[in-house]
Amino acid sequence: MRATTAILAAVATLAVSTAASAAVSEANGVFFIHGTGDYTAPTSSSGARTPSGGTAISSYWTSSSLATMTSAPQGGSWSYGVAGYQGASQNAQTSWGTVADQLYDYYWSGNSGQIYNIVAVTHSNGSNPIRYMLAHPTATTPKGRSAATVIAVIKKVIFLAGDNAGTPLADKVTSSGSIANIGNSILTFFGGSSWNNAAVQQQIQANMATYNTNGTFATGTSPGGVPAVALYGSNVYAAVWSSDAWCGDYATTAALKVAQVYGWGSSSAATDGFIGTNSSTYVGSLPYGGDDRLNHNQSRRSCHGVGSRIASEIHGAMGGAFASAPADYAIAPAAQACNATTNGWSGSTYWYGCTSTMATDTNTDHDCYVAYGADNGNVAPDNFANTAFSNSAYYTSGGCSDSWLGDGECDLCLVAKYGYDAANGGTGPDDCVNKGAGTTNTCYDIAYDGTNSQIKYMGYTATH
Amino acid sequence: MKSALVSQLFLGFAASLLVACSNSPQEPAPSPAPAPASPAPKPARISVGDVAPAKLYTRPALVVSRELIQVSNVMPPVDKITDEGTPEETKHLDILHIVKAPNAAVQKVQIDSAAEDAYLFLGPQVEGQEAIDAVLRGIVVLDPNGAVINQRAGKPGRAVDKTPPMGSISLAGLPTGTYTVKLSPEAAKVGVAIEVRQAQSPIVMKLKPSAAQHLLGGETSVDVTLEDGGAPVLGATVKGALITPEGKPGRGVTFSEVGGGVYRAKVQGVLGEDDGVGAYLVDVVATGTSGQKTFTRNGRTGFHYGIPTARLANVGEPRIIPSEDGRIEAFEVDLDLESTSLDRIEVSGTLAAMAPDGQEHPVAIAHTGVALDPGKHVMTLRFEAGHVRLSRLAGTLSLRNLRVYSLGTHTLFQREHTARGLKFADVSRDKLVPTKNLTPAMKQLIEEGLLGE
Repeated sequence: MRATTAILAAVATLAVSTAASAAVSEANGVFFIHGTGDYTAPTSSSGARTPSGGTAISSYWTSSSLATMTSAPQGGSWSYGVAGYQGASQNAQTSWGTVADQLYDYYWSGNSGQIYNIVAVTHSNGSNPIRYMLAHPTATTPKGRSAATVIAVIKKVIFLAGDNAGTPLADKVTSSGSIANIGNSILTFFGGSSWNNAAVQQQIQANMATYNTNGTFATGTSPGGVPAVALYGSNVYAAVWSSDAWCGDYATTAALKVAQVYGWGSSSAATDGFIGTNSSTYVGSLPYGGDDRLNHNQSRRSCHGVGSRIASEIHGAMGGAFASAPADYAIAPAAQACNATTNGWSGSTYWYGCTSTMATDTNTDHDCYVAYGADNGNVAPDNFANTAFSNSAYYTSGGCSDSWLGDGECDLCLVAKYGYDAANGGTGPDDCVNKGAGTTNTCYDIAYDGTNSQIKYMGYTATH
Repeated sequence: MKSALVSQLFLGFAASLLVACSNSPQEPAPSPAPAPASPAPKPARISVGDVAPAKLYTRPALVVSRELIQVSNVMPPVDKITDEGTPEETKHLDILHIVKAPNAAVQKVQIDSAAEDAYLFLGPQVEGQEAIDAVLRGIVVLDPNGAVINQRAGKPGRAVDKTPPMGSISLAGLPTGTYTVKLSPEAAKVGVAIEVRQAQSPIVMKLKPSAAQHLLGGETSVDVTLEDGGAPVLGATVKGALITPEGKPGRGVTFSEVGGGVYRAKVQGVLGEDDGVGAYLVDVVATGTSGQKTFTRNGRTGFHYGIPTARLANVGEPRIIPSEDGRIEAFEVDLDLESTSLDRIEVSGTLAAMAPDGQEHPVAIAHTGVALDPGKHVMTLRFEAGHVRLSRLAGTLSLRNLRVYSLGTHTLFQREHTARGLKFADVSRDKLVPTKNLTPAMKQLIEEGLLGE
């Protein structure tokens, strides 16, 4: 047998030379591949320049995040396609064919067949269908195409928080048979309410080690001969006063923070709350290092500048430059679960609060510290010991107790101590989440009890 | 011209072998000319990650595409050539105690580390937050001194019975030793997972399979190494059980102590022709005593199980395909395969060259895939010379990581890291015909400076 078919070269004849110019070329496209979960493809035509419809867009990526990632730094935007496939009920060895067909359909149908510089952007376990395809160019798709035919139109792969070596969370849910300790919002990363599916089984760390070693998935800095970069978060930042923490949904941030604290997000210290950096850096080159304010949810939602960073990577693939992350800004105290700035008597209780004078004077006011994340040079949560929250005399329990984490009440002493108040599953991660107008939070703060002339840790209800 | 090139390159390789093997100061005798029609089988050199079927089995025919697809592609010479099949060793410090329903109402858990990041987790085997909370309310956890540790501290104005139950309990600062978990009748009825995370414990369980790919008829084992502060832990009890690719409980595996803190279980014989192909997990639990500490460790490793139906019978001689102008169009090698069942088989290999850093780096990859019926077949790996040229490396090109992979079952049937020493010697870059078609990926790699025209 002597085959003479050279698929890569044959298809590449379509890829006529394009200038690395500043203008957005209609030959340049982007294709997004979601992670674990059964999401539906866009309902618009496969050739739509800006696709619409389908849960892959509405639930996984969001249109606004896709728009950010496809906004060219030099102006204009790129055409893009979005995969929608059985990313939970099928493992990557099976789902790759559907993804490949959708990518090829986008290439073939998009803009009259003129798109051929496609940058594939994957999130989480969406990396692995692509890695299977890159490892096996002679495999064939459900529509009868060779993987090589699809690879031939890909210019670059961006692995966004790629789950390339598995996650301890997959180990945890499959070994303990329980989701009791996991925040509900984290389960969305396993495809919904059930963890018992083929994709989660595939993401067990030992299974991924097997697949990475026995040739099932492509590895290396240029897997399968295709350039690839890894963009990833290395920490979960959950301070309630930070927009960096709120981006993408604060409740999910808090849940991912707990996963990090409990050691579920990684067997090593660095994690985005769901994927350890040992996994997210396993494949591809690493042009930027880890972002310590980019959790697993935020990386798909263009938070902390990653959207423009992706756009820059796409643009860089076509001759562009890097865009820096925006600066953080404080979440207003009134938007937080417990507005600690309110000052004055309520019945026989005096709440110290934080007036504008208190916020700028030379005293260290505990409510200013917790409402704004800093006061009088003390920065939360590092300088907890310099605030009244650290005085055990104010507590009947002997101090600010960690057992209050995730107890359903927002403890401002814990916010001062850690920047968040969250614990295990159920309502735990929601302790300090403002759920909007008409809702309430139970809050605890240090106040003056006029009935017995004592400073005490006391509760109140915050109405929004 | 073609034969001359083949002869030149192959002779260069043969001569280097002879020099390496000779102790005589005299010129070595010329090697006999190879017989291209029936090349002598070459013995495979064994590397750690090599995979080879001991025998082939007959399996039901798979429904697969029959299309012959042959692909050559670039490989930027960034990564070093390594033995890609070396299994991974993992470290485990945690405890997982599943109390299956119905079970005893009192459970004992040995905890040997209570550092700042140590936690005990309770996972009722029920669904729904209300049901989970109801079970958790019926559980009491006592430290070795008898103090309740799953109870939240009081707050002014809050009744204790209104406090959400604790499923995650910090162990920081608590004593090590025997903890007691008391289950209410309701909790014992449904079952509870008791997990302990103790990331700073000095007692470490290391797991490592001897191969990532286990083939029926082959020998594969799993090693468990127990250490306490680096010293081997002897006399422990180690048990293992397989988890099937579907996540179902499978057969047990038996570990025996082999010395030096190592316990080994053989996998061969545990899985047979009737077992499903796929990634199997090995759940391991080790219990023992080290010094005055009693410990338990749980962990997982795994391997892929496959039933081989195809293998390499022989690797042909390296073959240079000349261009019309006398340069090199491609590098080819024929692979003789035998197959016992219809499956889509992909063979692949990497060409590697020595870089200025003194290390081997990849310069091109090739894949060929086709459906193989039972019988003998020849599959050809073809590396386009232009793809090698883009790497900017030349000289002796060695075939590495030769693989036979079942696309029908996602199983690695064979891997030879050193590919029987096959080489294309003395390749000059200026003799390589440039590739005619650059894919978008190739252009990008050129733009990034990882390849060069």
